Amino acid sequence: MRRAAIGAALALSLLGPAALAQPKPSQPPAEQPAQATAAAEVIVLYASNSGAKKPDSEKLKDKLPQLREPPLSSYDTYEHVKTDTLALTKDTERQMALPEDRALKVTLEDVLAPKKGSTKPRYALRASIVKAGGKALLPELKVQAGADEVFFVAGPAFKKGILVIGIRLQPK
Amino acid sequence: MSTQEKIGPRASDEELMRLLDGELDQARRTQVLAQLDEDDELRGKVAQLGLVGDLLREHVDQDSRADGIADEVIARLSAEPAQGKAGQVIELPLASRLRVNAPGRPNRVSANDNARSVFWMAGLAAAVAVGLFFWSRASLKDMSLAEGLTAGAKATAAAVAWQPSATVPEPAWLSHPAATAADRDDDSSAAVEVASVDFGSNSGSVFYVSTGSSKTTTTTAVVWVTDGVPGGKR
Repeated sequence: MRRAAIGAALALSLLGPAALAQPKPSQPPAEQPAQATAAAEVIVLYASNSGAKKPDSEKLKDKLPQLREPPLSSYDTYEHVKTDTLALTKDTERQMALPEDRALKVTLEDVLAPKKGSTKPRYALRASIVKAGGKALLPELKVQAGADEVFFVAGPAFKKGILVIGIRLQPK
Repeated sequence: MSTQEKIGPRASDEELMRLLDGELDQARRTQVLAQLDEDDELRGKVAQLGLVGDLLREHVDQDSRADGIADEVIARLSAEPAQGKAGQVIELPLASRLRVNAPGRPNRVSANDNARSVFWMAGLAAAVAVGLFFWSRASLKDMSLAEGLTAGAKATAAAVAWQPSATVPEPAWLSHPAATAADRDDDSSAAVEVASVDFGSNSGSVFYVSTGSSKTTTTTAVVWVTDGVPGGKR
C-alpha cells in the first residue's frame, strides 16, 4: 500500500509538469493560425432609364447616395434585384447567381492588418463575373477594402439597362 | 425656333471627339454642350469612352485650345473613368500609396499609365464630386438580411428567374452605416482600393467617387465593365 502511494506520487511528480505544459484545449496550437474569414454582403440592382420617378428607386438612392453620383447617375431608375451574403474563407471561391445565367465569383485572398491607427481589418478580395457557359465578362478584379466599406461593379447588360452590384465586406 | 433646332442634330461620336479635342466650331459646340446637358446617354457615352481622360491627359496641359472645352465638359460629366482596353490587365497602385484625393473631389486612377495613377480634375470638384454619402442612420424598415436571401446562399451559375420586386426591400446591410472618414480612426481617405482589373475582351473603367461630405469625405470604387450597353438614357 505504501509502495503504491509512493509510486503514484512519483508518477504525478513526473507527469505533472508535462501535463501543465500542454496547451489548453480552447487555444489553437500556435503553429496553426486562425482561418481567415469574412462575410461579403452583396446587393444587385437593376439600373435603367425608365424616366419614371419610382419611390423605391429614390429610397435606394437615399441609402446609396453613390447612385446619384456619376457615373451611376447616368441611370435614373434603380430596382432591387437580390441581396445575398457570401461566407468567405481564404482562398475558397464562392459564387452568387446573377440574372441571365451569370455569376459573381468572389474569393477572399487575405485578411490584412488594420491600417495604422485603425482597428478595423481590411480584406484583399478577388472577384469576377462570368456569363453562361463560363465566358468571363469581368475576368478579374482585385480590391482591398476595409470592413464596412462598399464598392460597386457595374455594367453587365440586363434588360434595357445594366446591373449594378454593391459589395461590402464585414468580419464573419 | 424649336428646341430641336437650337440644339441641332444629335452629336455623333466623331463630334464628341472633336468637341473634347477643341476642334468643334463655336456654334456646333454650343449645340453639343446643350445636348450633353439634356442627354444622359451622350454623357454616358463620353464617360464610357474615356474621352475626358484622353482630353485631360493629352490636351489640357498641352493644348490651349482645349482649356475652355475641358472645363465645360468636366462640369457636365463631373466624373472621369479610368479606362481599360480590351484584353488589358490594369494594375492600379493602391490608393493608400497615391493619397492625392481631395475632399469633395472624385479622382481617377489611370488604368493605362501607372506612372500617372491619379488625375486631378479640378473642375470635377465643383461639379458633382462631393457625393454626400449619407448612410442613413435613421431607422429602417425591418427587412432582415435573411429576407433578402434567396436560395442563392448556395448559389451557382444556374439561371435566375428574376422578377422585379413589388416593393423594394431594404436589405439589412443598407441599414448598417458604412464607415465614413469620421468613423474611421486612421487617416485613410480611400475606403476601397482597386489593386488591378482585367477587363478581358471587354473594355471598362475604374471610377473613384466621393462618398462623404466635405468633412468626412472618402472615396469608394466603381468598376464599370462595358457590356455592349451605352451608359445613360437610351
